[in-house]
Amino acid sequence: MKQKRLYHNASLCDGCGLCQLVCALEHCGQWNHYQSRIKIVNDMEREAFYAVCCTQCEEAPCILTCLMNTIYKQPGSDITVRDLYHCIGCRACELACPFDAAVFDVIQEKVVNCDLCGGRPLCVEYCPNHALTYDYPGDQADKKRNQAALQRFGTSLLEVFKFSGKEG
Amino acid sequence: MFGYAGKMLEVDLSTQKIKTRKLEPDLARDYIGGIGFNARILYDEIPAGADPLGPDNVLVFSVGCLVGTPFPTASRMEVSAKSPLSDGFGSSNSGAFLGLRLKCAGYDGLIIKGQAQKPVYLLIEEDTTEIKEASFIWGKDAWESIDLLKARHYGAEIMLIGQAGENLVRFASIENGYYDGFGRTGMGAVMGSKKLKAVVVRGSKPIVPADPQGVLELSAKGQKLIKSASSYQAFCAYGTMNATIPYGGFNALSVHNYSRGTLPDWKQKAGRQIVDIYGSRHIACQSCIIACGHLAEINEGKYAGTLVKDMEITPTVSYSSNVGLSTEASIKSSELCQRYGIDMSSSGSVIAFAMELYQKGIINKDDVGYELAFGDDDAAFALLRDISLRQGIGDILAEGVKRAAEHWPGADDYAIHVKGVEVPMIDPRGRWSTWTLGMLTNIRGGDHLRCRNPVENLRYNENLHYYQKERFGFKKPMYDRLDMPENLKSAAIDLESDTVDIAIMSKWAEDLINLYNSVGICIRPPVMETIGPTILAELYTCMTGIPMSPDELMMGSERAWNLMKLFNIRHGEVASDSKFPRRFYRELQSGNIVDEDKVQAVLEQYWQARGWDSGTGHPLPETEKRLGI
Amino acid sequence: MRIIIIGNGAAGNQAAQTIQNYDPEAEITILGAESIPFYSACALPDYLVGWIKRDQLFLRSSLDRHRVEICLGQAVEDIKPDRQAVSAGGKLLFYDRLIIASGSRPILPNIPGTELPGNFVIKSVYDIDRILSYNPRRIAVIGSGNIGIEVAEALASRGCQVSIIEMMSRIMPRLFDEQPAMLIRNILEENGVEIHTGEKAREVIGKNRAEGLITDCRRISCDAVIWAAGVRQNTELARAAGIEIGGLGGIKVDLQMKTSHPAIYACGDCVETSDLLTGKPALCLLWSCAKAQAEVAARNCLGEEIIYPGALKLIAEEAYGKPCMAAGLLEEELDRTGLKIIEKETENTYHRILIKNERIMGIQAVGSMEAMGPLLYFMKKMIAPSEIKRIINSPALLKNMPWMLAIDKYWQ
Repeated sequence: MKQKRLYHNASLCDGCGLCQLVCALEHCGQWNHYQSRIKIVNDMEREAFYAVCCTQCEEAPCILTCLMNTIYKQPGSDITVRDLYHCIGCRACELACPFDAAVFDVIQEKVVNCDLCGGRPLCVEYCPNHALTYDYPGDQADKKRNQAALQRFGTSLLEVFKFSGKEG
Repeated sequence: MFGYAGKMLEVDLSTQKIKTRKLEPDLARDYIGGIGFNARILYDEIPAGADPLGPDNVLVFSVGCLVGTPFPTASRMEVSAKSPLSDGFGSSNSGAFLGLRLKCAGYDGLIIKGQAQKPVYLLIEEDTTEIKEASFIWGKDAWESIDLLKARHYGAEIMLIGQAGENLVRFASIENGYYDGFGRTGMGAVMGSKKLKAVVVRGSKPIVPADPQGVLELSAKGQKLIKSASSYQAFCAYGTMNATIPYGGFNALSVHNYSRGTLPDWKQKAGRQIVDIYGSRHIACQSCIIACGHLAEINEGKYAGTLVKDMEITPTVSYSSNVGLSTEASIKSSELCQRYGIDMSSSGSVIAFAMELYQKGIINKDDVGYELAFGDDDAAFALLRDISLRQGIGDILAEGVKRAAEHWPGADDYAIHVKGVEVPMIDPRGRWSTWTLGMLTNIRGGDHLRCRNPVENLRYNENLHYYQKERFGFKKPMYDRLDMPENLKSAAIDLESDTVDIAIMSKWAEDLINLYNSVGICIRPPVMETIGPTILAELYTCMTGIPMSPDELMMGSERAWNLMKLFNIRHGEVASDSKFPRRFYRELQSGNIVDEDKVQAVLEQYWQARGWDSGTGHPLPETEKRLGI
Repeated sequence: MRIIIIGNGAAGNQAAQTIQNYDPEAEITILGAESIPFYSACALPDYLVGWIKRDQLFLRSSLDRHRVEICLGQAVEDIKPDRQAVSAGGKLLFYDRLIIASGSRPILPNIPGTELPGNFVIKSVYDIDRILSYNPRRIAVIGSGNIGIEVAEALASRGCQVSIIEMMSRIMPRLFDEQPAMLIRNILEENGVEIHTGEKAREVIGKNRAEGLITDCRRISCDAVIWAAGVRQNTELARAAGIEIGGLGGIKVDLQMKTSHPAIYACGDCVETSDLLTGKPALCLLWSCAKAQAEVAARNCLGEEIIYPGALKLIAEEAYGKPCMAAGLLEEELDRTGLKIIEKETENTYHRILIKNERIMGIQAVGSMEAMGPLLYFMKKMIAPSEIKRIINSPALLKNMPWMLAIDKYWQ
């Protein structure tokens, strides 16, 4: 079943970093920019801000890399979830993630990814410019994203990256 | 300690000693943070008569206590030292991401003492702080230096001085990254006198609030409140540029060193449309939902290729109207000011001052080396360079208008300053309001940012000479919304005659802004309009776990304000310093002059409202006792 | 379809899991030689230090017990390819497809003294249990591959005195080039691990138990010797069944993980595949490779035609909290002509990227693994550095690939 995903529209983003703050506060009760599951890359030179966050890949490299088999797809959906009890914090999935979206949680000493706040992402709620949206895959932004990758890398990359909206 | 990082970093550059100072719970509660800490530390640690550019001066950076919450605009930090411009309390505020990063490095503040022998920069990482040799960036402009430092310290936030600060230009600023800065009162010169080129901050320590859920809820509430402000939409779209047109309309603009009140083509030069023409995108500071900053881009013409965060009222008014440059040149001037590390308001005033002297024949081409005329961008930028590098006449002008005027007989009439600090933007002859009185009462001298009516009325300009009152101009719902104690509200605002009592409102506005600077939020109008001590007190309690009532919070802010006043008095401020430049009292402007006696009367009312002596403006002993100083 | 999987390791379990996901009808039997449930071999050093508990070693399995039969402690005696059967415990088990994931075992060299108590290898949970109950104080670790280094660090963290003996001139000789290897060596030595390179172990001495080790140049007194000097593929079963063995000693498989026998597939440590970057035969003894191979093998068993692109050597580990990673080839393995090396060094980090013929051929990092994920993928997909540069420099393209910005710093 297709789940809603998080999308970021770089042209609307002001780079205020609110999403990072609320994410860290919600998940760890403290603010630490390394704890946030979403990262805003602030790039003044290119006049833009980009968000890096778990894309919920269909065939996720992190799942394949995990030494402890702790990462799996939530049954009945395609959200990547983790069993943190068995995680040994080896950070292999952090290395494997082609999107740089796995986050090492320094409190638990384990790697985490965006869990979409159980279906009600706080970052979306707090985003002042609606640059972050929570929507079904296959919308306009998703198609554009695919197209861009297709143009640049050819189809082969799509196979690896498994962009979320491939069918949509 | 919840909410705070819990310690301050103290660096003595003379002895190269670095130590941390525990943040005392009493200090935290009584002075809240930001400017409050600065006030206490400066008052305690700078001896009377200290040379602002000598080793005795102490440069303090403090982060607001709410920085690190998702509360909208909570990003600000305050830098203070004895000002080389006013010889009093110098202070300046800046946002962006530096404050949060410093807090994440584990410090609420950074105290810099002494003077280094050789140029150095400070590298603050989580547990280590190093004083590093900086000869490779000394003499380079701010942007080049940032590039070089970023290559060494990836992902760090950097504040630094440009050539102006190195050359001890008295109105040099400290740049906060590429585009922001601690502009006013010459903090860059203090940093330059300490031979400290830059502070590089990296850190990833957590900031732990006492009640994260409460902080989240209150932040959401704050977001809602600010979004409901009447000026919110306009501010999101055009930022501070909104205010440029009304002031032109009121004849209250600083044109050509205050010799005129407006420009005929002002609407074309500074209106909202120039944001649409040059602005390419919004840039927010940490946690800000307004994002008033725009990235301005010039694609063709003389200044093609300029890319700078601009479209703000300060550079626009300083350079477009005061110096009279074209819009594109004023955008370029922002870049130059950022690179040299110089205050945009003051440098604009100084250049306008020099141009007027040239016009009047007090200085001539032999003195300057080139011709000066209002509107001549090449001359203005050459002069800006000379001032920053202290070449030729720039060496004299780099002392600021007050000191420079002493060089030439008769120049004093054209020196527009209050307590040595150049007056920016707005002319009290054109519009008299809480804001303009604030330039006299401001602790840091002639400046417009520490006293503004929370609900600023930019629609009417009718009560030109009604010194004690200004028009309120809003309907009852706005009055009801104002977060102000009821008795004070009814004393300050009279809905029947639609007026605001300037003296009482000034005190409230100053305390409110001081509170903002203590907790680290921004004074943009949508915030001023909606956020008051009530929600801040709740937030403070959630963040730190320290019980705090709105009244106590306001008292903390007032305490800091009084302490800064005491600092100024100790360093030689007298009552007669609180006066406008002579020009405002004598020279007719848009048909008006400022009446000296009437201003004095309002000033005395204000002193009374503050609990200060109505003759000398010194805080009375009972006021000090009430505040527990 | 009846599928038998030999081996209860990462590859075996992943193969079973994949088959279960793709074909719910298949009957699966896993035959494991060890009588212990599926555990992670990679976490053994963590268990050795005590960072994780023993029960955390055993992994969550979502295999359906009704469809997958797991026989533990059941060593396979014989494969009979002509009858499509294996014999185990005296019984004949018939299969339609067989997947060999028999793994590897550590090498104990043929020198005097290795039979004494106090000689250990690191392979299974039991090995660690044995070391823990033996409780040695002074230990010599032979070999400085990633296992050797991890075990040395684990034991040093337990308060033991550890010496590493490496035959080659630097530590981790197959993973890192000279300079990063030196950095890692410094980290280890700062933390009290003794390292001797360029020496070969000659003899383990001692009467009833190991008491010391003699190398080319010195005598090291120790009460335990841990052999981490390489592994050998478990190919005896396959060899006996007439399945072709490759030149490097692993079971030879094609790109679909099929052996020389059409109904038999192999995956995991025991196979010999091709290297992703060079296309030459290579052994890849890594957990993630095993899982990827198992997935390919399992899906091909079921009739799909999936290609395994080749193994990529990839090692990531922490040396006293400092992340180190190496992927791809080393400088010495590459032809010098046209080789471009990007080196980025700061006080705490070191990065090295080898580029040849417009392809990233190797990445080594010490101190920080930031942005290595995207880089790895460009290496795997053989995307030219110039293309990466073009994307980074174009805001319009970046909008769709923001993560690329993270690697910006390596290209300046």
